Amino acid sequence: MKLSALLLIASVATAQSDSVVIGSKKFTESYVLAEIARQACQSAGVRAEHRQGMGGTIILWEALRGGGIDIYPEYTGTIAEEILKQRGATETDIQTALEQQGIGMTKDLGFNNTYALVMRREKAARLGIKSISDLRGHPELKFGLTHEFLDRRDGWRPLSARYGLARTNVVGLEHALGYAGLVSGEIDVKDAYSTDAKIADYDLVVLADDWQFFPQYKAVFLFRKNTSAAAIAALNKLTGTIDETRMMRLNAEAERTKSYIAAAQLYSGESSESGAESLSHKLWRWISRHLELAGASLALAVVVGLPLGVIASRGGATGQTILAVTGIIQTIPSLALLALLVPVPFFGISVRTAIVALFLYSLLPIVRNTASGLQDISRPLRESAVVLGLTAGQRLRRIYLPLASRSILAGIKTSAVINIGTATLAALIGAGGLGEPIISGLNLNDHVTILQGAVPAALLALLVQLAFDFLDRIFIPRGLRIKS
Amino acid sequence: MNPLVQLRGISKHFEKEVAVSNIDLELERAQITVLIGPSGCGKSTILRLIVGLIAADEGNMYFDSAPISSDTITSIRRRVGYVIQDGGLFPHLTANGNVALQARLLDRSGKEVKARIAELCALTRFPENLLDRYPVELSGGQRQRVSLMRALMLSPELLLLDEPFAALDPLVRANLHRDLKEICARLRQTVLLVTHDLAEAAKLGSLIVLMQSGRIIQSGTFDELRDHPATPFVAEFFNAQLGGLQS
Repeated sequence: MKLSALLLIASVATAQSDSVVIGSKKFTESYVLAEIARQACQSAGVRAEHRQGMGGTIILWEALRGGGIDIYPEYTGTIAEEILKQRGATETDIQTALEQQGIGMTKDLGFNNTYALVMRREKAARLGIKSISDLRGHPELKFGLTHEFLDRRDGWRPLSARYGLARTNVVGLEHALGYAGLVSGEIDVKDAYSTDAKIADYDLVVLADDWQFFPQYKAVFLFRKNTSAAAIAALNKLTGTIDETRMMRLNAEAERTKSYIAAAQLYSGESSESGAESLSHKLWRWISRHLELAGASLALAVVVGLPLGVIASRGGATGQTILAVTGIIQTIPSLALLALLVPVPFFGISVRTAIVALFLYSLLPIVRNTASGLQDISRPLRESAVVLGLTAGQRLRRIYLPLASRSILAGIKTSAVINIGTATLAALIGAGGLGEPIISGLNLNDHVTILQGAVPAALLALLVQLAFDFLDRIFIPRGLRIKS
Repeated sequence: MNPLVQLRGISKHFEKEVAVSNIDLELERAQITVLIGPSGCGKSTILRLIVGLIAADEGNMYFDSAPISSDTITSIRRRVGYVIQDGGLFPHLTANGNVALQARLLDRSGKEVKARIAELCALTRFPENLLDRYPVELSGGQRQRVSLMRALMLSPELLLLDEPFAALDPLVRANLHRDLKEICARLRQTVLLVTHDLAEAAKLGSLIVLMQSGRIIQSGTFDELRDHPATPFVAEFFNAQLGGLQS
């Protein structure tokens, strides 16, 4: 406890004294609310930074507790159900429980964004479905639900149990893609937030929660108790100022203009586009961060993976363990790995965490290829090196590693290309890179924004491939490249 | 003078199979000793034991009267040259790089190394202009000449040759036989040659040691073995190879 307090003081002391970091989850409303908070803080003279679209609840909550961020928008239902795991807790209960963890909560912003099930209006009318209980008579309907909703304690399982709904016809879908599926008729029912702009846009109906299953999801800001008083005051001024209709309009504005900043400005009444960044500047920022993430993690993986591969090539229990552990790391889903790292004090939500996650993923190809490259060296060559009286170190450096260079380089190349792709996930913990436009584009259902991230990422992967073909010429001895 | 290498009661098993059993062998200086026998008789195992690639289960070995052990093996290896069937050349190094490797790692001067390589090229009749080629760019015979140069680089007291000519065509082999004999005579080189080819043994060896199933059956000159076979196997081994020549 004391240690974490010290770390906290250290991290605060290095930052500017009156500055805050605001996080947001990866859906439109969260982006918009965080942006409104950022602008409010700025106007109050507090330097504020917005880390956009970070993973899910768990990542933001741990980041908040760990001091990686100071503020983020959350919903009372989520706090009770997911964070505190106290179903049906009152607002006072929540306040007290958060207080003990050093976290404060503002009053609600004025709207209840509860979960809801939505359908196309014409289909619902044709089947005579008005409420969730009406779904019971229609097991043929296809449900497309977000992964978070499928797993939540107040999500699909208890909901279907309460209403007695069939669980067979269900697929897991990303939120924005789910709307596309609903409109095209590939799915019939999906989960939504009751303030989603898309509900009005696509003329969808919200099915009545006739048995009052869903808890209240009032929007609030969570903040660290040691956040500057000016920032907390600015947040408090926002409470009670946004009702459902207004929130839906702000969400619609964000999706129309493809800009959260614009939506937040609509709230504060400003119309100037100040602070907007040119595309070329943004691209440069994304690409350079992306290369930094992929490059640093790859360098680390080479430095650690090569020696591990050498040890693994000797076989035995140690070798088997190294290969098994690096193999297991590879099977951990990336979001889960990030969620595991975020609560660790040194990491939190930072570029560091993203680099470490990417580093862990790039280990396997390097370790495995180094080990197999060394193991493939024929016995006569090994024995020749021994008989020439070379020491173990000389054999490794002068003979074995050069002979295995092709395989080792192929492993590094695989890691590099995978890294360029995986580095897009760094945006989930606010570490930036080309994942930033991809994730925000997915949420806005905006293909142009998605492509702004996806195309450079694909080009980078191609460039890396070419660069390695060039490196082959430098690092693979000529004698191994010429054909007899 | 005492023999350069002595083996006393050497035995080696792999799993439960006997590789060599109770071997007594002495390598006289400046002489080519040939180990011959059918494949699997344990002749290569003896070479591998001498350079410490495998350890004996029983018996003692001496190099220049000093016991061969794990402590002494590294320094002994620098006094031994070793050539195997396909040469064992490192494919990532040029002919020159292979030959110079040992000397360079021992920090010999560049000038000294260069002079020694020129000398070896002349000795083994390897064209100097091919020194920059990689093993894949050389013929089988050229590769064996490079391998021989590498083995001779540090002027070893003992040269171990493990079927070095087996993979070569007959004409190339005959040339190499002639050159090897000349080189060994000129250097007064102590050699232990492993082969299964009796004609090769006859041409090169002063002492022929015939092995069967991990044991030494008979040793002597070619004429002694041919005219006075110690067992029916010796006679059979000679007949099988020489009979083919006469018919």
